Amino acid sequence: MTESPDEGGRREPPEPAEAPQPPEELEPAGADVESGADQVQQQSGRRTRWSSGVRAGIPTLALLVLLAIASFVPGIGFAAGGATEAAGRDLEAAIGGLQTGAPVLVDIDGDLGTYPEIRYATRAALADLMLRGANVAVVSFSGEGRAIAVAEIARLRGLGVGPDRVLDLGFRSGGEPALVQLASEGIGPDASGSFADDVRKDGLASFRLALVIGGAEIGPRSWVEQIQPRVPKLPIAAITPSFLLPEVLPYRGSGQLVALVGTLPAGLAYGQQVAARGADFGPGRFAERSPSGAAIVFGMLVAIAVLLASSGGSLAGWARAAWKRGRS
Amino acid sequence: MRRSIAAALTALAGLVVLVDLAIANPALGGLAGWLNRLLVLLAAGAGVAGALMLVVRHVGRLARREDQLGSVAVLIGLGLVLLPGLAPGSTGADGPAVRWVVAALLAPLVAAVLALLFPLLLVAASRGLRLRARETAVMLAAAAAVLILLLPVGGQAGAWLASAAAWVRDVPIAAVFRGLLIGVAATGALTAARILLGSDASHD
Repeated sequence: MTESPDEGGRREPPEPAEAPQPPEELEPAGADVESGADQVQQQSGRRTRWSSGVRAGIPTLALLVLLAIASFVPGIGFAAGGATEAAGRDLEAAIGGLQTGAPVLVDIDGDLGTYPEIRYATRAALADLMLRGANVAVVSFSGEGRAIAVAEIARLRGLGVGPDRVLDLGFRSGGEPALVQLASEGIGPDASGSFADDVRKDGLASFRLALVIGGAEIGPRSWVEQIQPRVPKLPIAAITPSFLLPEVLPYRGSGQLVALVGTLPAGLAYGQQVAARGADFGPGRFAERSPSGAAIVFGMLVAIAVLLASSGGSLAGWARAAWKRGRS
Repeated sequence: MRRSIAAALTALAGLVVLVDLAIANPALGGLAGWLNRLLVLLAAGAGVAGALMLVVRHVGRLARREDQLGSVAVLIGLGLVLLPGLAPGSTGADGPAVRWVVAALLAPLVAAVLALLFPLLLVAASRGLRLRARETAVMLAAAAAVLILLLPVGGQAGAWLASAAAWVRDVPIAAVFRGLLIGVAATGALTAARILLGSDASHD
């Protein structure tokens, strides 16, 4: 991030009187040695720039190659501890408690950037809902969430789910005010079909569960703040990326969320539970390839090494100086 | 006078929505719903106006020959996302062309931008180490410690790491986060109160 000499030169005001001239015309006599030295300096500068570019590229390329190799290494995964398994069991219990044909509202508002972290758990939850015979209405309040929802609905339709089981409520613009509108006015007149007619009568109170696939814009917090006061009987479960955990964990602790899958290990544990009792075929079958544990662990180790290497020297020097000051 | 009318309208709208939450009254509910619909329309209008302003700004930059590459990229990107959805016969966001643009272009681009977060953090850290070495080093060491706690290690050590990670997440990180949320809420309430009381100069 240091400023290169070229960049510094560009900031100087231009000198219109001087036209670009070859070096020999500018320097009359005895300048051969200097111009030769300049040329060598320019060449070496060019070589340094080129080699610094390569130097910056090699670690990136090496990291990519090693991550690709690591993703094929089997046997390294996230150990399922008590808390992660409990998170998966909470969601399994929330979905397992539904009766056949129970309407479930799924809000898909993940971010395209962080969705890969929760895709496995989301697809497991959708397979779980299909397996339990639930009817699912999908809604989105963010553009990125709508893009994900469209892809997931198309995937479910590809697995043979009919429109009577998955109702597309589309994208509702306006963010949290649109969420309030959904709570107060229900799904509106646009959706058609017997499932839509059933859930139109009593608004959101018709649904037996709301599953929120959260993102930065709309997530479980918006649902707890805006929907729960208006529809208190609607239980809310959530799947979120890790970065939202500090924000939403208190809601799980207070019981405002009936289930929360918020880490990759919890998502993996839940997905494995669904896969273990999934259907042999159809939308209830869950055979999604789980994220590579080896690649993630390798990435974490690289990050730890880089962070420690960059901070260790400074901290050690600081500690040494403090120790010396203490002794003297 | 203008300030008092705007402040009174803002206060009234806010009070109607708040009271509607506390009291079940159909007329009040209808009014609150109407206000909320206005808010949704306002947000949609702001979105459209923002997109139009973006186009106007970048067309203007192209006309003035300033950063032409960036402006062309923005306009082509806008066109690639908008045209397949607005084309005659398209079904909007569900259309195959839109889905293809999202899956083949938008999603990888956003994922790539997110993947740049770590290298960008490293660059920021290297600058931070030059400017404020001690503070940045402490921050980086804390980040490394959190990552170490999250490592999927088996056995007794893994159980200890997991419980330590849960404690760090539930106590210090949650405390900082709650502090931030309370601070943001208090600042928002203060700003709202200043607007409602007419003591905010920027409200004119």
